[in-house]
Amino acid sequence: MSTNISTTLDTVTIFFEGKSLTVPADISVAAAVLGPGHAGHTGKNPVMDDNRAPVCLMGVCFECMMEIDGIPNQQSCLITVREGMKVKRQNTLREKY
Amino acid sequence: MRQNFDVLIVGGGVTGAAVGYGLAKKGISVGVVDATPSVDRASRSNMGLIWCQSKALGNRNYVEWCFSSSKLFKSLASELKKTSGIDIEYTESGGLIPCLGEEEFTKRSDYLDALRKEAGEKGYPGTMLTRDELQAKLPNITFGTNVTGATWCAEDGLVEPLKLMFALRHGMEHLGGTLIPNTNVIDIAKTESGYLITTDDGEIECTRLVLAAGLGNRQLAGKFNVTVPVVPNKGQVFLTERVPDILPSPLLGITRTRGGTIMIGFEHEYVGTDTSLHTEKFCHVAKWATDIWPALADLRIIRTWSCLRVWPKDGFPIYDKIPGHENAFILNAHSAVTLAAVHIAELPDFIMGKEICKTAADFTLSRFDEK
Repeated sequence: MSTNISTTLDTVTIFFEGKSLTVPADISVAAAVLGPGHAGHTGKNPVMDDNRAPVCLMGVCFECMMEIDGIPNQQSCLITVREGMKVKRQNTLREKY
Repeated sequence: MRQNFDVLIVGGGVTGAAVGYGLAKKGISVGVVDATPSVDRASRSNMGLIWCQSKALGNRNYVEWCFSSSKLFKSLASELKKTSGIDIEYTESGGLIPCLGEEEFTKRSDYLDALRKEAGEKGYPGTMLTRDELQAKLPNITFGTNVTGATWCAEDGLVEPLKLMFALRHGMEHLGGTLIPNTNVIDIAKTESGYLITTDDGEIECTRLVLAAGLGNRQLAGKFNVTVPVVPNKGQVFLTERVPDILPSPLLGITRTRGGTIMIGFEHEYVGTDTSLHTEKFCHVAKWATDIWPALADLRIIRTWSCLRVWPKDGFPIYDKIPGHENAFILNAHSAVTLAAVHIAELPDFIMGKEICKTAADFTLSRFDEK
């Protein structure tokens, strides 16, 4: 049994790594990309360089950092999706600070 | 059932555990009774600095005491790995104090000169670095325009303070010592052969008693009608998101942990036992930190907290017998992490009845009476 929630709620369309995703209008970016668009990871750990994805979904673990509308280093679990939002994995390992 | 030890240490923080570890290494029957939840203690608002440089002008013994401890950490770290199975994450990082403006640079330089003069023939390992030299040491950091240079000392180091505490506790147990956690000492009574300790979980007998309970020593020493001049010293720190290994040497007040987070904080407040967080203090520290290293402003703060540390009123440690007692001792130190290695090496013999080594002979309780 499955329920297509998009028929019962308002939706928005966001772009995850260029791919369009239609998701409920009031969910977090992390929740959106953990759904149908999730492909293993949303970023990389800057120390270990290994793949990471949202864990706590409440702003504590800082594993869900993503680039949102061109601004890197956003906590995707604390940001609500907006129509047309462009979301990218955070893979930038900076060498200089 | 009544437990019995040659030595009972009250307090299982870094200081109590270090002395317990040292005693267990000598094969002495030792127990450590500890009331505090394992992580709710001074070690958690500590950056893990083994810090020797640029401090304690006028107290050459304390300077030597710190440097002698630092020198022992490398072998202690490998020893603890064997005895406890825990890596205390010791690094011979050296330490830096960044300077903002010419005036601060001169002040720091003058202070080092005075320490060097005081050290005489023994020499003093701290030096000044120009801005260019500092930049060469930390090439991945872009310093603020007002940074004029830094002090540098190769003998400073870094450990993970909670791991140090757990390693000392586990190591002590592995060597035959006994840890009695989550147990409060309620009363202490002198007996013919030693002391009878009443806890909320039974009684303990011991021949020698060591009070190493940090701020709790004030209450415990009250059982002997002794006043311990130790006050709470509040520290407030904040932690950033993880970054790669771009800060191999800590800047005093800005330290990168092994996990990649950066811990920032340097204030010492004397506000009793109040541990509430104050935004204006954070703003002050953050302003300073970003003046040194502007890119910190782009990092997310992931946690903030405060904690009470131990502060003997003149800042120097206390190692003494309780007045009128040959076999009961008071130990208190602010720099428990820095001094842990020398505490392991030197304090067990003192507890067992020998004279304390000359370098530490002035760290008495009675020095506070004279003032």
